[in-house]
Amino acid sequence: MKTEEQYHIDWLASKDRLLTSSDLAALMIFIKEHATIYEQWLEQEFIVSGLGSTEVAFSENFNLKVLKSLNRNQLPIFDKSSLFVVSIGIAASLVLMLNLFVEQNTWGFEALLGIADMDSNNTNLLFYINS
Amino acid sequence: MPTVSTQNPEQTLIAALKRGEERAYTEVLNLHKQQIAKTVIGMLGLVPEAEDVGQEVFIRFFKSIENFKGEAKISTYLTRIAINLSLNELERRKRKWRVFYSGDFAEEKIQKAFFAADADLDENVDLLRRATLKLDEKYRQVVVLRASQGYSFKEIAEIIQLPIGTVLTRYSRAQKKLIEMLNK
Repeated sequence: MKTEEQYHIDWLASKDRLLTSSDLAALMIFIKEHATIYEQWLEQEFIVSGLGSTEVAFSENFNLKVLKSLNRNQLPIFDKSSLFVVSIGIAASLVLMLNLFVEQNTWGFEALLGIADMDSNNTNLLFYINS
Repeated sequence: MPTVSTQNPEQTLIAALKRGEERAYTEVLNLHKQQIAKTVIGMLGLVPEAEDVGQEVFIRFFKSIENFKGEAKISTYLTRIAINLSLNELERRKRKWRVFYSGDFAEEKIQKAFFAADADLDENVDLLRRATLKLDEKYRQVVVLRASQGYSFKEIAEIIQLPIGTVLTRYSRAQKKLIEMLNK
């Protein structure tokens, strides 16, 4: 014997034609014998269907926000031209460092800063570059 | 003899998305944003995070377009993402509020905190929506998909990946709970 809830579920299923013919026949008998319950089902269905009438929306610039966010995520941090500039910069730094090491004739940290053998005659990096 | 395309409009749209055509992105947004708004706002309420979740739905879809086989309709796929992200957001909210509320009646206090954030709703429309937001997530998602979006039970079962019998039972119980809440 089915419970009222099971008949209600059957009734909901019947709306989408998901019931077998025997279950549908049983449902029809139940509805005929319990008109008040059927009216309650109809009423609660009507009330809950009110949710479909509410209109909600995202903000007007929703599309723009999504597309911007998508582009931001897809763009690499360095594009090709930036990478070229960065590579040239790194190569130039290496050449300068080598030049400093050779000019000062030492591989120490001071040579990297251009201050190896610093004394009153050579006080800065330009001394070596110009010499 | 002219060749006739055998692709349906959705397949054509998916192909355009895979080629990275911006027109296709805009078309998907225009076609489905209303439906996603209903799902996400139905699940979370009219709160600022709803729009963030909505954006994330589309971003995830667009990013995974290469893997989209077209076995489900775009709307079904998007709605599935929207439901999952909304459930994640609800979980995040609960964790956040649990920091402030613990012990007896914690759940009740958490619910009240949610509604305070949802205070912008229009008074005439919000009774039912507020009652929906009080439902447990497992009931809420079927109510949103059925009553708000008009999906068939079969489609809902596909979206939330549960047997159709479970979906029907949940919808039946959700209806009763909603009516009980409205009658209080």
